[in-house]
Amino acid sequence: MEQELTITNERKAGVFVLHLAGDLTKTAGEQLLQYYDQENGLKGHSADLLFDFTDVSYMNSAGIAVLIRIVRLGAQEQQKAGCYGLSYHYEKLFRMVGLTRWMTIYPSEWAAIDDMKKN
Amino acid sequence: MMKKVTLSSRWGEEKKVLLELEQMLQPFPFLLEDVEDLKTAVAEACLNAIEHGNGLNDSIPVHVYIGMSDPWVTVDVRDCGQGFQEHRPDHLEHEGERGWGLLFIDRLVDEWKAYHVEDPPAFGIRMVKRMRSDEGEGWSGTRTDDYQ
Repeated sequence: MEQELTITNERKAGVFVLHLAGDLTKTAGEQLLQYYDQENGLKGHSADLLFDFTDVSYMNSAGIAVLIRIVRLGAQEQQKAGCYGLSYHYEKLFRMVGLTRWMTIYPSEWAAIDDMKKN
Repeated sequence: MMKKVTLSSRWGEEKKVLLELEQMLQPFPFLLEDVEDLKTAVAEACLNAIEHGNGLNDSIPVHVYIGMSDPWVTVDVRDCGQGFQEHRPDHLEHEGERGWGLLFIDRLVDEWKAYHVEDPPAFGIRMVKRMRSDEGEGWSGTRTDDYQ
């Protein structure tokens, strides 16, 4: 039933864009955490982090918890985080759990990169 | 209108209920916001039942009962665990993952309560959501029996 999470990344104007597709659940969250730990240059302050949720149709609290862990880890090293492609519902959930304290929600990739490279 | 769905206690099973719920709600002109809120609350209750209630033992079932009675949708999620002390989560920083699920349930449905059933022994969460119609009218449903 669970749609496996696939993660691809690209670097745009000094921002790491993580394109996620599938479900963001507990197991997928652990996969994302491992990816964040191991992918060269992703962890640390070398680049800011932008999550693309356009192709994520299902998230649960366990997946969101891992996301919070990643952006908090990044914040400790002055790595900014942002995201785009969120539905209204998930934007509401992100606000509910306080995720927006560590991650800015943008309407599009262009808006995100434009803002993140300025700051 | 009433439906029972039985899940195995493993990750991802909660999506079976979401599919059933979507099919039941689809004929009615509900606000998408209400449908999404209910689906998230139900998924979180199922996850708590699967992980914390039944300890991810996939031979132990989780039973889900969905009832519709204009304008309410009631969902009961029952596991075979000991349950937990009912509380209203309000401080996110102090909550574990189960608390996060409860926080979503608490904020996304109109009413919820935790309860125990004696025969056969089970722990349940009942969630009630008032569904708004995007046509500004009520919708037709039939009374459901009380499950307890």
